Amino acid sequence: MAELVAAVAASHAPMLTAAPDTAEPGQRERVYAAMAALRRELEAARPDALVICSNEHFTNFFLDNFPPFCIGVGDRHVGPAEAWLRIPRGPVPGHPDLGRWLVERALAEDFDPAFSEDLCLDHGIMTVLHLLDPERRIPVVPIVQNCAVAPMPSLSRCYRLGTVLRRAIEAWPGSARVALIGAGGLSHWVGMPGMGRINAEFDRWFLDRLAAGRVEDVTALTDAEVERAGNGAHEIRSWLTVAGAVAQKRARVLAYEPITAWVTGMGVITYADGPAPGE
Amino acid sequence: MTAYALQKAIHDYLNPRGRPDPPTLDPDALHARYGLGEAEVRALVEADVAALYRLGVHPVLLNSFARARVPRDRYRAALAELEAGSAPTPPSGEARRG
Repeated sequence: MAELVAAVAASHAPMLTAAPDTAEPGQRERVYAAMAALRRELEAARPDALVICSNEHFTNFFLDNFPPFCIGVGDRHVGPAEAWLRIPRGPVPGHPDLGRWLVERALAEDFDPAFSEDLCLDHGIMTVLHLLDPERRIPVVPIVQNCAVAPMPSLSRCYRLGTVLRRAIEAWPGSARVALIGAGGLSHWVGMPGMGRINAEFDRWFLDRLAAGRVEDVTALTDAEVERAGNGAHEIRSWLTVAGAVAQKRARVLAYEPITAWVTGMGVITYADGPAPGE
Repeated sequence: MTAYALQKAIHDYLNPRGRPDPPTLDPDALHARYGLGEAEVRALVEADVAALYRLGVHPVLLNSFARARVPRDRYRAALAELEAGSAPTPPSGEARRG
């Protein structure tokens, strides 16, 4: 039986690695400290595989075929897609056995993800992965979600994906230790007027719901309500998938900083017990 | 013409993996391959963020293109200019499905 040994989530933002110094130093340091805490948590958890949920940015799919979910089943992936991200482009080890198992178990539960042996990983996964496993030692099963192009999978569907992933991981015949990572922005506006604006009130409300174990308040939102925090806020779906995997657990917020220069509300959470940084 | 062909041109340009003939921003090729009109070709070649937005390019795809082709300051200035002009802010994809 495999074991889910860690469940965490963090905002991704290209500027996290492409231009970190553009942020106000205190904000940047608090976000980096929280990411360092996640890295220590993962190192202590000794995962054999990382399942990373993020979203599709037109990197792998286009309007001719835009699946709600796609699970990467390749024995390796490549990333980052963006040359300007200041992350070396190269292979990322995959975990095809686990990836295929997740697809099979999802199908058995009437959940129908696409799968791909050739996913290119963009900033959505690579920025967070770069801070958590910079040497890319741990095999990754990437899951890209449609958080951009309507119609998107519902918030509750993304939450339920997490419950399916949890059951699949725990039913895996291997003895692997698996960590689940959500990587998606909180509030932000992408490629449209308003870019640079951050809805900190929404972000704090969202994080408070996760910390209180009241995810149903979030999944009750309509897409239009989510969009009050920007078109990029749809990426909370990746956080909800992680929340679904840990069911009743309450998140611990390690950091939240509305970083205008990074055009994103930057949050970092874990579902592990323990003190927050600085406590 | 819908924005589909324009967006396809952008997507192919940004994602040339495995293509034997990686797309370029050559105006003649953009016209021949995608059937783009003069306004679309000009917006692409000049990486005119505001024009591409008005032509209906999905914001997330536009962001990828702008990040690859436009200095950060110019990109943000173009979006700020759009905002000052009270450009519509359609929901993601709802009005930009292709």
